[in-house]
Amino acid sequence: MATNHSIQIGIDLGTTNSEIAINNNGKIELIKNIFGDEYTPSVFGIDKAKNKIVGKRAYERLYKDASVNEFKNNKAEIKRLMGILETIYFDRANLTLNAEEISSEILKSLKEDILRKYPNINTTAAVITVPAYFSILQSEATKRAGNLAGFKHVVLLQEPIAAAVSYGFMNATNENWLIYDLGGGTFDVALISSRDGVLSVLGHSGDNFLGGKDIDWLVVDKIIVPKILDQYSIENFHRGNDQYSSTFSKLKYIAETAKISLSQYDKTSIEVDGIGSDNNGKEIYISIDFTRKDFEKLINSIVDRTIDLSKETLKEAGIKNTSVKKIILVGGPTRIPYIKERLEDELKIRVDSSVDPLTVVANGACIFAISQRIPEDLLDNQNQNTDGHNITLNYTTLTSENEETISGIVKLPKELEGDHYIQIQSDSGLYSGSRIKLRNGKFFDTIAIEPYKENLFWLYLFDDKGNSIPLNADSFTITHGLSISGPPIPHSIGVVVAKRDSKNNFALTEVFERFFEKGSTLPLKKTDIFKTARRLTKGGENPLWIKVAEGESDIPDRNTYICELGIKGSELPYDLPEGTEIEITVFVNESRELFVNAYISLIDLTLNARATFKDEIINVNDIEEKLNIQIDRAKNISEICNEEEQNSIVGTIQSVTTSIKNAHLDEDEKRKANKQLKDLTVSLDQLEQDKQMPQLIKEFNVSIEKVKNIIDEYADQKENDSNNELLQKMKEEGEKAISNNDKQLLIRVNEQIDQLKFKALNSNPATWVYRFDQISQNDLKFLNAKEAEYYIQKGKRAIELNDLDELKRCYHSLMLLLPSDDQETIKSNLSGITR
Amino acid sequence: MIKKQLKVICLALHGNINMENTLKENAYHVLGLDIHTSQKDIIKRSKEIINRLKIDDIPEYPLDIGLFESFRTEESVNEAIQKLQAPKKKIKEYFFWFQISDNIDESVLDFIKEKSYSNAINTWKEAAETSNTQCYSYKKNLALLYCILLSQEDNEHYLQDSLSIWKELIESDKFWDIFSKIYKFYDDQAVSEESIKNFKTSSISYLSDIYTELHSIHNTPNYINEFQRYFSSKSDKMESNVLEPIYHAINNFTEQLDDIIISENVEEFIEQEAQVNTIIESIKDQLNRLSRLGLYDDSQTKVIRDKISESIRNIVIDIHNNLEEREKAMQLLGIALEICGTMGLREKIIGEVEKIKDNIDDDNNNPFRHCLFCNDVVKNISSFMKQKMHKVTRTENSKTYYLTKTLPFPRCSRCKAYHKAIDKKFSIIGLCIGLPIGIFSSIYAELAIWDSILLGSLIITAFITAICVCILYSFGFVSREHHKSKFLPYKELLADGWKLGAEPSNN
Repeated sequence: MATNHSIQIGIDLGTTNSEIAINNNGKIELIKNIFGDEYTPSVFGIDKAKNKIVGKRAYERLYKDASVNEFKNNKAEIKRLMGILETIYFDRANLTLNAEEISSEILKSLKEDILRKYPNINTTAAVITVPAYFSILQSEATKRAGNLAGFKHVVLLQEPIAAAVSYGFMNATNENWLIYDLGGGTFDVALISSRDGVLSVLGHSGDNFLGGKDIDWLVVDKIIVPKILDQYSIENFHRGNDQYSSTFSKLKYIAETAKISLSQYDKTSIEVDGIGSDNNGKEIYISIDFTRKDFEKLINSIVDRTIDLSKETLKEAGIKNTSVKKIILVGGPTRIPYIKERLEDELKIRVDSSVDPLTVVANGACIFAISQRIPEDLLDNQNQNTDGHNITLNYTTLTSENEETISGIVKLPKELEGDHYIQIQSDSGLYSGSRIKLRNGKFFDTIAIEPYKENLFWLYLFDDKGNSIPLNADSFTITHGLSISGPPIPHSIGVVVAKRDSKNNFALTEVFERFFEKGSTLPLKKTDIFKTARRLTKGGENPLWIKVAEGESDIPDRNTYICELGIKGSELPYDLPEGTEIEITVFVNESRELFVNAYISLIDLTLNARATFKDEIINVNDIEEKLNIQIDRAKNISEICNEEEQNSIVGTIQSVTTSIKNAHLDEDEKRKANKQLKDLTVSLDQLEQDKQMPQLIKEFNVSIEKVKNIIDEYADQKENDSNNELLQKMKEEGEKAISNNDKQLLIRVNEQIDQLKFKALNSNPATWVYRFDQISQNDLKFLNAKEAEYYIQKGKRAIELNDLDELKRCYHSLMLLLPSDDQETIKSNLSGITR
Repeated sequence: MIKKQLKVICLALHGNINMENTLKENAYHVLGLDIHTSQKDIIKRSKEIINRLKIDDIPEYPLDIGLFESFRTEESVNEAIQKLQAPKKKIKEYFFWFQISDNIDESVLDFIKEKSYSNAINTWKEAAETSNTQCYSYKKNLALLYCILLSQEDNEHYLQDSLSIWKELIESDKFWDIFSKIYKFYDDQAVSEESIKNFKTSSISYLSDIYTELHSIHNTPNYINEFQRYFSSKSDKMESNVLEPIYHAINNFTEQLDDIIISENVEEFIEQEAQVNTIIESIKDQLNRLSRLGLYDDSQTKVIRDKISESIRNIVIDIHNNLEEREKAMQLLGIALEICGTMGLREKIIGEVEKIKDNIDDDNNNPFRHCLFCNDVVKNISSFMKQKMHKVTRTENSKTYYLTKTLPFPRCSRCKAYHKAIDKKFSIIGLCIGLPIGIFSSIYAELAIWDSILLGSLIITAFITAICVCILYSFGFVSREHHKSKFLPYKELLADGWKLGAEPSNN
């Protein structure tokens, strides 16, 4: 009996809307919900009867009704909160749910929609799409949501790939495409190559906090709220104020409606009504004429960001712009005409929006699903011949080739003697293979595939007399079409390693060491050997941490931690000396699930790091503090940046500041602020690194000039020549370092020039007189006033007698009589006088 | 609190245990494919290999060179696919594998398979001597073959020839022009010109990786040294695998030097001196390693060398200032000068050497610096002898006004110890003579009462002992006074009216 082992369901779990598609006998069908819509709003809520509601009903309660009560009991845009532990409370049902539990309710609703129409469909497994830029934790949370919704096997697919599959399946030619996916809450851009029927991702980028939602809030914050405040007196009327949360929910709905309207018309009218009264009891009503031009101006920064990321993707992939045939638009906001115009203008690539941008992902997910096998253990037993001999097959379920290789192992019982043969035949009769002799139960064959079809193959096992022997699985299916070479990872994955190196002056610093580079295609597996940084005692309380993170910065804190594993003293049979080898294996499967194992051969101990989950605890005050640090840093860097770089820094700082303002109330804004802050930090790191050499050259030139003046003006005459000679040598060495672009050497030369400056200054008696005056005339509290007075008098006499050595001795003696804090102050004051 | 703790405790130091082998792991080599194979065939081949590996069947292909073992694994095939699907990474794989494009290349491939390497080398060598554009391909193939053979055997000729060919190719604009054209012609990923240019810029670094790998296989400095001679460049791999371990060792020794606080105690200093010398020898060993690798004048090494010199300088300062061991300070400063890496520090140390020389000269000319008794340089003023002196300035109303001063007489610590020992010796001799004479005298004086005998004995013994000690001591004293009288400042003071003693005797 032939078995259909492939997944039949594809789901686009979106920030704003979700869609589900099924394989209806080889035809992809988008399933409509009870309202007859192909897409269901990704909103979950609790109604007054304490029932769980999903979709349009919850959406209307949240945005249209938008009463305080409904606002508290309905939640939208949950996708951006995936992968964090924080929960949402629904007071009507006294229910607390986290993001993945809410998502599972949305998925359950979509599943019910299918079962309503096709009660017999196999819902064991599904393909669920995720933004390509989702982190490991977010992807894993999505998978768990699928499991909670009752899909025992969940395969995750990146949204741009799903979109490309949807287009590519129908138009498989040798081309490169740029998938521009601006969804409700996330933005993905991917450069996809379709070559000879093989789809591969050449590069991608994105922003998980950039989508239609942000456009809606821009309209609210920049257009509607200022107008309301213009005409009405309302205190603290902003999104961060809990008092107005439901009002803002309504305003967002109004903004979204205006946005959709402006995608079709040149002008629209924003009418705000029924949101209550102002502080004077005056009913709020405003009407704003909103033109497409105004709207375009408003969203310009968001579109700019998406275009920058698109350009970056093309550049990183290393291919020519002209080789990109088209840009495929995905996601609701791409219906905004301005986005299409800007893309064509800036990238000079044709834009294709021939497939509905809202359903293209679900469609592609379903096409992809057909190529995915449901694991054997989850299949119904009736499809398997339990009496047959066990066979394991290795083959590709989706291919663009006209022939495919297949290998397998048949487990034959020992009592079966003699040679055995396997034969493969296609159901259509196109291919009938010869009988292949099993060697140790193993075989390898190449089979012919019929194009653009699902190819069913039958397997036959014979003994040396030609008798047929039953197999537990006697058939398999290979679909011909656009095959996918493996989705890439959006961020590098690695471990945090403690290191000392010469570049950090041998200080013990943590660095992020990559196991897999960004863009590596899944699945990925790698083992590397590390050594313990310190001794770990049996029963000791201080664990040794293995931290796994993802990101692009070499500085671990800039990246996102995925998990951490502490090797505890309680787990050890005896002490682990420093330098003990630890074998760390990281495995990421096609669905971007991460598995980490640590093996300590010395004690034969294996530990599983994925038993842990590292959630970043974000505190708004911490973000504010960190932002202030970065602002100071930005000020310093700005001095050596060009105008474009300066504007970019200022823009990011403003953006984080806005997010922080709303972060007290909105978890999503808090996460967004945190993410933007990290981006800002990383970009400042990068700028500092890029500008280091120019900055060093600038410092070098300025120092040479300055020190020369100091030597000429201040230095003791007898030392003048030798100091100038030394400076000349340093200049030569510095110039050599500059011409060789030798950063290390230039840093060293600059240090030496600095030392020479102090040497020159110290050789001048006036410097010592000045220093002595500083210490003796500033009413400082000496540890021993009497002794200090003695040295002050002695120093004064030394000045009169022009006895420099004596003056120096007095100065040093006085310094020693000062408390250490004052000594530091004096020293810091001293450095000031040389400028 | 917990968060803070996490920051302090961290995982581990990387082991650098598994060094890659760029050529063995070349994607085309792993897949057994020609470098002009299309993406479609690359994927097809990778699937075939993986399906066969799953049943423990390791396939062999006509383009296999038969020089490496265990290079075709599921992991290496997956890696190969990763590399060939990324347009930028693919250029590197293409560059670092053989281009088999004509009969000559095919015949060489047969020679390699037959392990007839000299024939293979000679064939490509001859073919490379032609002046057509194809000669660049032969040259690149030849250089690659040398590198692959070097991974099997340590051979000076192969090393020199390979580097000389790579240098010629990498510096040839014509080669890059041809390479770019051919690459783009066969490339089915539409790679940008910029990516090829970037590869060209990084090519020396990739080569550096290959020679670093060869260095780790054979553990001889030649590979790095010769590479430096040809290219004066080092890759991250060379830095982390070859240089960093040496820098670490040097840093450990330098830290040991920094930890030494030079004692003012001579005996302790002798021990410390030996310790310093041992550490410096160890540092020199590491520096010699760098020198053998041709990286002694590398900028990072120069900075490290400066650090060592600074540490030695700190010790020199202590020795010079606290112990006044000028010769030893000079000797160490000479080492610091020899090691220092930058001109700035070099000049600074030279200045200090001059200063110490001046100090030594000053010492030689300064009467206070030489021991009155043995003429050695006095290193520690605590061993000086002191003489209180006074000079009457005027007398008014029977009141005498005078100046006082303590004149130090230079005496080295050795002489001081000697004087101390002599004084002690004389005291014992005085006691030995005085005691029997005292007892004998008291008995002789017939002091009958027991108590009186004891008392009398004691008094007389003490008296005679004191006389004996004074007599003996005066020999030494006279001798010292004799030396003192020769001391020029003393003579000048006496001539100027200064007298011995803290104050005038009539006061």
